[in-house]
Amino acid sequence: MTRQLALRTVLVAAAFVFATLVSWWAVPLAAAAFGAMTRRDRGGPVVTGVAAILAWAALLVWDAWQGPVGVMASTLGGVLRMRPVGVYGLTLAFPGLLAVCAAIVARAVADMLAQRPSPPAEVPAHTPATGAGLPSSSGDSA
Amino acid sequence: MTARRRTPAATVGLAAVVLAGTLYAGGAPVAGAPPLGQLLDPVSGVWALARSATPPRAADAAIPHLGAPVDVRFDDRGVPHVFANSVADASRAMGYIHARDRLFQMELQARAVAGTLSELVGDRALALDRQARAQGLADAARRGFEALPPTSTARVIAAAYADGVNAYLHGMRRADVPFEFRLLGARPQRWEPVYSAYLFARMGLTLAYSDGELRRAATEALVGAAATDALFPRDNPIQEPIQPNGQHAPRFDWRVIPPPSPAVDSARAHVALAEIEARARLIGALGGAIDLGPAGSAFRSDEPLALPPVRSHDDAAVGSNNWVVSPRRTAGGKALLAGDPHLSLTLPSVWYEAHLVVPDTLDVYGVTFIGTPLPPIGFNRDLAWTVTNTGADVADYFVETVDDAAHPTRYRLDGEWKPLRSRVEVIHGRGARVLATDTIYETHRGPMLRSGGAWVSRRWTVTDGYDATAPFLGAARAESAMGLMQAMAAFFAPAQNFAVADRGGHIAIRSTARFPVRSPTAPRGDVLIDGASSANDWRGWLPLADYPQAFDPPQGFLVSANQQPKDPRVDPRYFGWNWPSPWRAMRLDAVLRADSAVTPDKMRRMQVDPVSAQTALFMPFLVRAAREGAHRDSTLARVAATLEAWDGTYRGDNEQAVLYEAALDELASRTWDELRPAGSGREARISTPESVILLELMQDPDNAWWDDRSSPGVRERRDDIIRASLAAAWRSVTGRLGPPGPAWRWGASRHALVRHLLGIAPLSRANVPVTGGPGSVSPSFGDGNHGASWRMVVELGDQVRAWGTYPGGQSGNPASPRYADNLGKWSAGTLDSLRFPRRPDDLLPASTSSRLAFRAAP
Repeated sequence: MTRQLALRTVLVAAAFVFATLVSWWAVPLAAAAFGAMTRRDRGGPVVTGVAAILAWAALLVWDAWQGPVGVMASTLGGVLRMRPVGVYGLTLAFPGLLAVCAAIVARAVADMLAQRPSPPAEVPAHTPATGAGLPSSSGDSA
Repeated sequence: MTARRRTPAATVGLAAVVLAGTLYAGGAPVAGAPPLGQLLDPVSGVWALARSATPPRAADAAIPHLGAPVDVRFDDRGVPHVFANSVADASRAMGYIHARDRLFQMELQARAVAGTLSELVGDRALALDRQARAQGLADAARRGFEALPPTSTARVIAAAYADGVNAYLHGMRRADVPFEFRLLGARPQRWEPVYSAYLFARMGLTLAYSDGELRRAATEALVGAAATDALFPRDNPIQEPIQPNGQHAPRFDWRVIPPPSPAVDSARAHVALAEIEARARLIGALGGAIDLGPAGSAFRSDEPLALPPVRSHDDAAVGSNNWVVSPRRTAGGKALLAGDPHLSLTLPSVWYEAHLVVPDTLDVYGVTFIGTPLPPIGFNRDLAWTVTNTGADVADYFVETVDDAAHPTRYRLDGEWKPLRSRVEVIHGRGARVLATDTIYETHRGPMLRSGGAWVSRRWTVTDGYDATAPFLGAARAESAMGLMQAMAAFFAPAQNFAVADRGGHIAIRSTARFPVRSPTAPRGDVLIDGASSANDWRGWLPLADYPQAFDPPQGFLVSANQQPKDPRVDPRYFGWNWPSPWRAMRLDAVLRADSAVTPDKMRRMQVDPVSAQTALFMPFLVRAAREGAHRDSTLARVAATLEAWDGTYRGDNEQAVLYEAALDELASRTWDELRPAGSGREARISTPESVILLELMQDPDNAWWDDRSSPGVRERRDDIIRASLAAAWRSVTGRLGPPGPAWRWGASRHALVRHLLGIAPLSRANVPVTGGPGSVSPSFGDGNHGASWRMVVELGDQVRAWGTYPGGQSGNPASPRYADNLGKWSAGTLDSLRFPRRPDDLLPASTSSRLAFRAAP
């Protein structure tokens, strides 16, 4: 279970790396997608948040590999009136917060959509109320 | 995974709120902080600047209109050596390189002139923008630029340069956006060719702006015309001119300073002081660092601008020197040149080193302004040249009679009403919001401004519009000292003292620019002129033969240090007034007169010489007064002992200079108390005479100026004021630093402050050790934000050898190791050997840090 969780976290983090290559605002979009897809999992948002933090940490390491990130942290820390470690913290907290919140909100929205009954006019008489492609709302509260 | 319970609504709601807030903070500035998303993104945010801190070893780029490939080799000091097939291609490459290394600086400087800073930094810059528009620099530069033929050197090179800048902008990745743009949440704008003309106009503002007539008029209101004439004289009382006058020592022309008249109109002076100081602060900010926040504070875009302080008692904020020595006075038998132009010290620096090579056309190394490709200071295979500011009077103010004081439409000229040209300036803030709409009025002389309740128009060479590029291209291509002078004959503004030495052993100097010939009815430029008569207008330009100049003088050396260029006994015509105290020129002349075996290293050491010619002239008065009072006052006894122990130098370990400087401050404050409008603060003088005028007053111990207005009924004499000043200085210094000892070391009390262009403290460098005091060759005064912006020594032998450095680095990226890498050497007074390869492969791989190849864009 733990290994599976770790693997999943790494995979999600990799996805966040790619999302960040688009731009920072792609992080909450990706997190929302993960949140909706994993809406049945209890720890989904946390995993998403941790993965986002890991993704940006990995990117920072990549930056540090190629240049003086420490100088940048000191400079930005001076500008923002915080210690360099605070700048690193802020940099990691920012995607984490975005991802967790986006995942929670997306999951709730997905729940709502799943709960909503399909319009009768569009449901053939012989089709069950819960479509095969949609998860059962009862499963969420089991 | 374990199936979950439904998330409580409150949690979802909270998450939604936090998400919305975080997204907002990520994409938009909040409470003055920059947008966090763009800032912190590790792929394209500020962290990415760490990745681009060091350029790749090899790279290539495309530039439109490039005629042939350009090969650029960056040496181990980060200096580009540009090998191109045409001057235009070299200019394109320089545009690209400047943009890559200094993009934010380029835009900030152009906007400062255009008066569009508010669009970049917000409402805080409104006052600066209004001042810039009122000065009309951009308007004049644009008109002048557009008046030039499209094939003129200025326009061809500016267009090519713009090609390079815009090619960089076109290919710039998000990750490459400079740090400051990120803090501001802004994007760089496209570069227009006319911006190069703006940059020259900005130098005109920095070097040739003068509001002296307005100050002087206010001074007259306080102390009368006769005293004002003596305090701010046409001719310096110590003559050590740039153009040698045949003397072998300075000449002292002491005069008696008339007593101050009873205040004519103190209220008027008070109002004028406020106007003048407000304008001076804005002009100072436009010309140097534009401080967006109090020093040491974090960056907040909603904080007010921190404008430069008004100087209270220092001499004029100048300090540039250049000198040339003929081969017969050098140890190596080769001509030598040294130059150190002093300007506001900023990070990034105003300068960018570069070497441009175009076969059979150009092979010049020097420092370039960001915004133009050619070096105004430098050397080629045959000669070297450098500049100091002349400070000639090239701006006059005319009092105009208008039809409506509030909203004028016409002005009176020769008995007729003439229409005013008006220009409506709309100043936008961020997001295209209109912040202000100003109407600028102009007479045929230039823009009008309000001063002391009157409308005055200004005639100023800097706003005439001119081609500043062609003379510098001519200088870069010159083959002899005389050839350079011929090329620079077309130089228009700001007036500069060009010193040159060549391999043929010739040396020369000339104060160069357009100097107005004034009307016989208004021969003086130091007073406000009646604008109602066109007979008072300028009549033309001084002929070249009448410029201050010298070629291969018998004395074997030439020196300029902002002193009065010509001895009035040689040429009595009006050329300017209130010349800076000649302490630096006196010291340099004295050293060069005494040495007939000058070496490059001696030239280097002279640039940071710790001796001030001023101290030897003031000290006898101070020590004698202190000694005479010592038997009554133990403080004066200690002062006398301290000053007598001083060797008169401003070395970092000296423990007496701090007392001398405090004493001179006190002395100026107590002596010039009549120049304070009633009700003003202790240092709020309408203007402060140069220290050489204080020395002149010293020769007259009973002069009425020594009287202290705050002690009615008592008539103080010189030595009373000196003793009071010395005692006050002692109390001040001991109160601040304790008893004499290591805390009094000059190095602990005087530092350079190299301020970031936006005044961002973490990007600035404070407390940089310096050698020198206010009157030494490398003067240090005020808050330390003024100093040698570039130091260069060149030996003109068979092979030209050169050394130089500047207080900064080639890169504007704060993460770059080249952001401020030269600062330590500059502070220590050492110079780097400058590489001067003829061909790309002359730069050995070990000396090459990176390559950049340009090809034509399809």
